[in-house]
Amino acid sequence: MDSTTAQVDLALASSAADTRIMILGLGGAGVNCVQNFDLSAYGSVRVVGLNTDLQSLQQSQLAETFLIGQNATHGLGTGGDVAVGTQAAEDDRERIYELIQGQDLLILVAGLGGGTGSAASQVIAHVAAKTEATVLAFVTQPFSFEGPQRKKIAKQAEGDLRQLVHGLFSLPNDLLMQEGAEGNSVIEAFALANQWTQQAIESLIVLLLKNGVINQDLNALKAVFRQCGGRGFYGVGSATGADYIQKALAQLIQCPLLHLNQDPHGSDSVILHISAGQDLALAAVNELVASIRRHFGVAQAVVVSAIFDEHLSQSLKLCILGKRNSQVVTKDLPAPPQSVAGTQPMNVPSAIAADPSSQAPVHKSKLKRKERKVEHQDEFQFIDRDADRGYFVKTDHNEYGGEDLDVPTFMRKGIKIKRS
Amino acid sequence: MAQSSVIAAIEIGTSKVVVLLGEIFGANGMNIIGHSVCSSKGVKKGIITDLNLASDCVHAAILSAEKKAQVQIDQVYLAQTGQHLQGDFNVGMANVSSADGVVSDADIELVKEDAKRRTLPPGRTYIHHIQNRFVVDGRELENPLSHRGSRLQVGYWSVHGASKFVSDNLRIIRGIDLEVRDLILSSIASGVVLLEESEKENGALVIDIGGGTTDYALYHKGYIVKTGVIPVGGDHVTNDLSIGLRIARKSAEEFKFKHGRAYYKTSDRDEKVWLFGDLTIGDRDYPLASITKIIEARVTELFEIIRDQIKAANLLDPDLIASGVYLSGGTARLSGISEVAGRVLGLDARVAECPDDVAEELQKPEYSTALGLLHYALNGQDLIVNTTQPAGLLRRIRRFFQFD
Repeated sequence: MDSTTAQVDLALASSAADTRIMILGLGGAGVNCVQNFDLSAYGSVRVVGLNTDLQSLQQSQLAETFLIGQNATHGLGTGGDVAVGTQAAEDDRERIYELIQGQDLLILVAGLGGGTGSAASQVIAHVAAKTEATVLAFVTQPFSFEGPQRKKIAKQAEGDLRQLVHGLFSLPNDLLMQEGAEGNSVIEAFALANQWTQQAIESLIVLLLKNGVINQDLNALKAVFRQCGGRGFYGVGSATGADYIQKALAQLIQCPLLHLNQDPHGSDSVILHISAGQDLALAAVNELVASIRRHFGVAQAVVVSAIFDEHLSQSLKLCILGKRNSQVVTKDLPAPPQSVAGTQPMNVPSAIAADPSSQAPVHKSKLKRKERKVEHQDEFQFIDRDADRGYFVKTDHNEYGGEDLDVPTFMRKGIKIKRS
Repeated sequence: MAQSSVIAAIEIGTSKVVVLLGEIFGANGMNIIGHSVCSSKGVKKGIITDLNLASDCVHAAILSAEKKAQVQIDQVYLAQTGQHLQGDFNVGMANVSSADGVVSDADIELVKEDAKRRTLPPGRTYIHHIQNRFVVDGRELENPLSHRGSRLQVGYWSVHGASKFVSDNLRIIRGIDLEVRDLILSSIASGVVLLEESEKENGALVIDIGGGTTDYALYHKGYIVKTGVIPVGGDHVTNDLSIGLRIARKSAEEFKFKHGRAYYKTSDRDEKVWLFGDLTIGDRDYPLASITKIIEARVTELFEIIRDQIKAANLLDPDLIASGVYLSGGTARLSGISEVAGRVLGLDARVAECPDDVAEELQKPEYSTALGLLHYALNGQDLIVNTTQPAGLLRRIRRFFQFD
């Protein structure tokens, strides 16, 4: 999607009330993760479990399930076979299209490394490109002890999927080994992974659907996740009780999810979702945003949404979501799926469709410009770090309350300045 | 006070060096006989960043003032600022020693020493010990001598700075064979000249917004209860404008005073201002709203920091600061700044006016610190606080002046 399309989207803004969101849990792990979602408060959210394994769907507590690949697997699992998974999804392309069409936001949740999650996610992303939906994917990478084969499949799947969705958030399960306590059970470890994913998704939904003090809509989300590709990141932090603001912020900053390869520093823009008790002062919100901007060196904007729950006090949940686009600048950047979907028949096997070489850029010149733009911004951010301080660049940093006072106040507070 | 007659008040500011020469006559009369101002070099945020550059311009200013007045300077009073300056409130305590419970001179000395005995970490030096009111068994007293009681207390606001930065200042003056007689905190010097005794008595907050630092001194009931230095000044406003509008510092400086206002008004939205206004190549217009928004953000933040610091010390009581806020320093010329100060601090605020007996050209807010130094030199320490204790009110560590 290029910038002009994004502007058209902005013009067609839909109100929050009819923002249609679908959360698709793909494969065993995906279904497992989404079945605990309690989203009854948000009417327009559909949570669907999609799998080849009939038993897994039947055992889930999900109201809406979607069985694929009856011909390929006869209602059983794929046995970890990507080819079977691909076949199963391909067979049901039309049905999948019918399922997901008309959604504004499609959130895919999958555990990579297996057959269904790894393969079906790509087919669905392809199909989704045919619709208007913004597609975000939350995936988990398998534990290293699951073996190099699964790891390899997952890596491949993640790389391919990244190019097809607007934002891909990857959580390596290995991280759970370090995060969980010594004696943690496997179930507890998976619960933590699910919890992280859930908190991020819930923040997204609350952000889009619930009327808060500072509201954001789908367009804010689209602005951040305009292009396909790039490395998404998210982080969560929450605290209650004394010093809850500092604690939540510290937790967010130290959130291990933010210290993976997808370094959030210097991203163009991030979404910050705050949900707090009603006693959170506006000044504190301001401070939070400033700290986050400072900490993550966000060049352009922090999109803030805030919800205040009157039943809570001294409680704060923070979630940031963003994407680092610089990684998009690779030589074999495939065309965005919008154009792919528009030029390819629906029944192209996903394995071929996912292959970058088959996606000869249709709008070559436009892509080039896009690439340049991203590079240019990166460069700007690079000098930005100290250029902010201008005249004071050679003096000691002027720390006060976690901020560098030499950096213009309007920048730290996010006040938009027009130059003409 | 020494018998010497020519006193130099020197302020090494971030944007300029001010030298004022005063000639003492009679018991307590003074004529200002010369002054010179030159742009500072090698000073940022009140700290000397290049000793050679700074020395050159300070020496040039001193020589120029001497030449204009055709005199030789005998004593130097030097203003001191910079973020390294910090203050603590220390309370000394002593039991009244005599059997009949009457406070003696010895008790007073003892309690003062007790308040000042706190040792500083290495590398820091006391600059001022500012005495507050005595308390005898809970009663506040100007002078406890001969009062009855069992327990004597006194508080001191003690200001200390980083030895390195303080000695840099002294070294510069020494470089031209002059001795620094006293170092005075900029905010205290400004307060000396800008405030009437009654205003200090009612409580007042003096805020001196210079180029690179903002110095403040808070008076409660005639006593200085807190001072502070914030390393933000007019340069920051200029820098913000320069970065925000992507214009040269020089243009930003011009914008600041020509079109700038310390707060944003909705009517600014449709207004445009021209960079040069002379239709030359490169001239272009900028939205006034952008200028005022940038300045408002910075100025508001500055006063918020001061407010928070005073609040943190539990001293932000409007009843105890009845005279309100007095603004001075170069940035006090910024339009609308007193409104912002008043709004943020919740106190009456105005740009301080210099006493009428000063020549018109020296009445600008930029000179108040140097004028304050001269007043201070003339009247000794009496002017600092309203007290019956003339000596021992302020004390410096003498060894500082003996480092050769």
